[in-house]
Amino acid sequence: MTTDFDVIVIGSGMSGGWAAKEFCEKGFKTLVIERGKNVKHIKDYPTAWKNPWDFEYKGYLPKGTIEENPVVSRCYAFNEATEHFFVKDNEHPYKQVKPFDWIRGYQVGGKSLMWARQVQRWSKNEFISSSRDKYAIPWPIGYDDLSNWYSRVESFIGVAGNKDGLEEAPDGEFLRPWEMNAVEKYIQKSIKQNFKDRTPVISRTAHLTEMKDQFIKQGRTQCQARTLCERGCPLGGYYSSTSSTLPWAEKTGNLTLLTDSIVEKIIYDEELGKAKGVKIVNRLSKKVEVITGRCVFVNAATINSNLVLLNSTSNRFPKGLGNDNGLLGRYISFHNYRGKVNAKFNGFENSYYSGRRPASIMMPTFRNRDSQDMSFKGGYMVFYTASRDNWWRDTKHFRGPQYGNEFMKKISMPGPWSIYMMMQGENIPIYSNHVRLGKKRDDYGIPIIEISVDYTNNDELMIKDFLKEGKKMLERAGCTDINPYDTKQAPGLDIHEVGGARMGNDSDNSILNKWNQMHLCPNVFVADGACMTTSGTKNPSLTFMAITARAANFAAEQLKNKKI
Amino acid sequence: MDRRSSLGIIAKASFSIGILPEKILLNALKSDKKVKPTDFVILFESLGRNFLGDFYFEFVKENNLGAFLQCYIENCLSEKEKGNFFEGSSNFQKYCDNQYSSVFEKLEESKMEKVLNDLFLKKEKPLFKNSYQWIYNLRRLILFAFFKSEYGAKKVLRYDPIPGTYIGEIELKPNDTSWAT
Repeated sequence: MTTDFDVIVIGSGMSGGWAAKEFCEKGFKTLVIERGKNVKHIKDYPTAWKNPWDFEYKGYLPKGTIEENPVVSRCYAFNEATEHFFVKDNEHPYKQVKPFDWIRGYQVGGKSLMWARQVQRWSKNEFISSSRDKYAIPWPIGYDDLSNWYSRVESFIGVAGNKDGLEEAPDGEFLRPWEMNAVEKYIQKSIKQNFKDRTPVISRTAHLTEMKDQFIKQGRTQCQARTLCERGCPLGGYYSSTSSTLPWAEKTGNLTLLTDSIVEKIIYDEELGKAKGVKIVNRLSKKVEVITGRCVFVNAATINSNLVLLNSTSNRFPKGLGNDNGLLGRYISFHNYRGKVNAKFNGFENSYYSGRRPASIMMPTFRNRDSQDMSFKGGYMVFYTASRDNWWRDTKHFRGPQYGNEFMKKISMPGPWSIYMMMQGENIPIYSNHVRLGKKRDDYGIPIIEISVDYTNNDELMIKDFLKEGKKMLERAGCTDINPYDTKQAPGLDIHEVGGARMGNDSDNSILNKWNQMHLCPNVFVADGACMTTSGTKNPSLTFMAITARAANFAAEQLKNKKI
Repeated sequence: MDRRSSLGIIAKASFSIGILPEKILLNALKSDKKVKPTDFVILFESLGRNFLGDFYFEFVKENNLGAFLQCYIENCLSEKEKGNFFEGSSNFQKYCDNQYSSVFEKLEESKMEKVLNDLFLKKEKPLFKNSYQWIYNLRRLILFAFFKSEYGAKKVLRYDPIPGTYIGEIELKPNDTSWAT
């Protein structure tokens, strides 16, 4: 393998795949470095076609696995069918200065294989509210800077959605939306009637609900509504970098994919005043190697991107690459998922649905939208679903001596409707929420990351508001048995951690400029979650991809014009 | 299928994984000797026969319910949950022995019915410690094993591994079963 490239991309997941695609399409010899194993689309999805009865424990994990992996076991998607795609707790240890559930996927495709596939554009307000309400530095870009890049990404990955015309959830390049069921529609109508500032709509998801030439060219086919997505989809029914951007990049002949290779650091050349490449450690042989490149894209996922940058020390940057202001690793934020509401709904007994839908109902934030009018800062999205209970309802609904033929007949039929509602709250970035290098080192001699991230009183106020409003909305819709609750879960389980190398206009208080370029090292770009100035209220992956595409195109111009 | 045939199926399923004979089991229970989880495979099969009704006979052609439950309880539940299941099972057999001088699976059908009805009804006056919770949880596990099996999912429910699409509203006709598992 050659050891000199035009571009080195660290990370092969959600956004790394996009960097690879953009550079390879433009003719740049691009190396993608992945610390985990190779995963080939279709071939390496060992459980993709299995049924519940094909698993030893019918999809559930043995207690031993759960006890050995308390952190990753808390992730909803970690089960007997998917465990091979998740990093086990002891595989890459980290220190929780405060409780933080760090969920990772070390393989080609990263977490894009197991993500929840919800893709919403940020609104104009989300880019400006942090500076307007003074809870973070201003974003150096706004919605208009990203709009075309959102379109580019949506058109390529495929996004199912409805053009709802909502300012707080801008429309995009949508495929046929998923349908709502009767009860979801009923609740939607009730909320719209009773709360003029609230509009629930079907969520937008990265699934192919219809086919277009672009997807056929990628070798993908229509989503079959199986919702076994986290196992990897052999149909390419949802976006993952393994099914989409990476094979696309590979077809150009410009992509080199290096797996099982951990980036220890980015090497800074003091004479040139820029990075000259990366130092890597082979995961299996522990062999160390240096690879050179004209430009480095850091897309290793938020915390690992911070780790690489903090560990990239030199005489010029003793505190980490580009970290003169000491803010690298600071202002980590996430999404607040603690508020949930369960309820029941009586009625629509003769209505049912068919298939498994990878979407839910979403409601853009109705708090602090145009100005801060609440006691807390930031907003929150609300999601809900309605579904009919299944056989597992037996304990609650079949009291007394019920068993045998009649019981089995009753329990085989769909039960009452259940409602599940949750919040996705913006977490305000604060200086003290940070990651740093510890003194201990891992098996490869790389410092172990220490994570010190916690909720603040702002989150508590937001949870309280959601629990009150969620209850109110469901009450008005005629739901019963309404149970609002706070899960008290640690940060991290949202898997939406962002920041640490935030974008900004000023090099005194940010790490990256508006092009995701390091203020102090112009040929290094950070374009995954680490670059985010705030968390916003929306699921972040679409924005990571759009930002990466934008940054890669800027960097490509810079490379072409020999400016970096 | 008559009772003799069903007991034959239960015995066959249980024998295949090397179950203790009934007398040894009863002696073990009486002497407070630690009972091994495999001791309850026949009991679980027998409860499955009662709970699943006529579905049981097709189900056991492809599934070994007792062995699965024993394996699942042993490997997938917490120590506390596991303890509750096996202690409950042990207490249940002791109760049957005290009342009828027999383990549950050897009781006549009418006696089985009485014991089960008492278990489900006597929440306030349990037959033994936590008997009500034990039988509810065990029924839930049996349903789990049943509906996650190919027979339960495809022949009883309308599970379709590849639905093709999602339709938000369809009419639910009388006797339509769930499609999910």
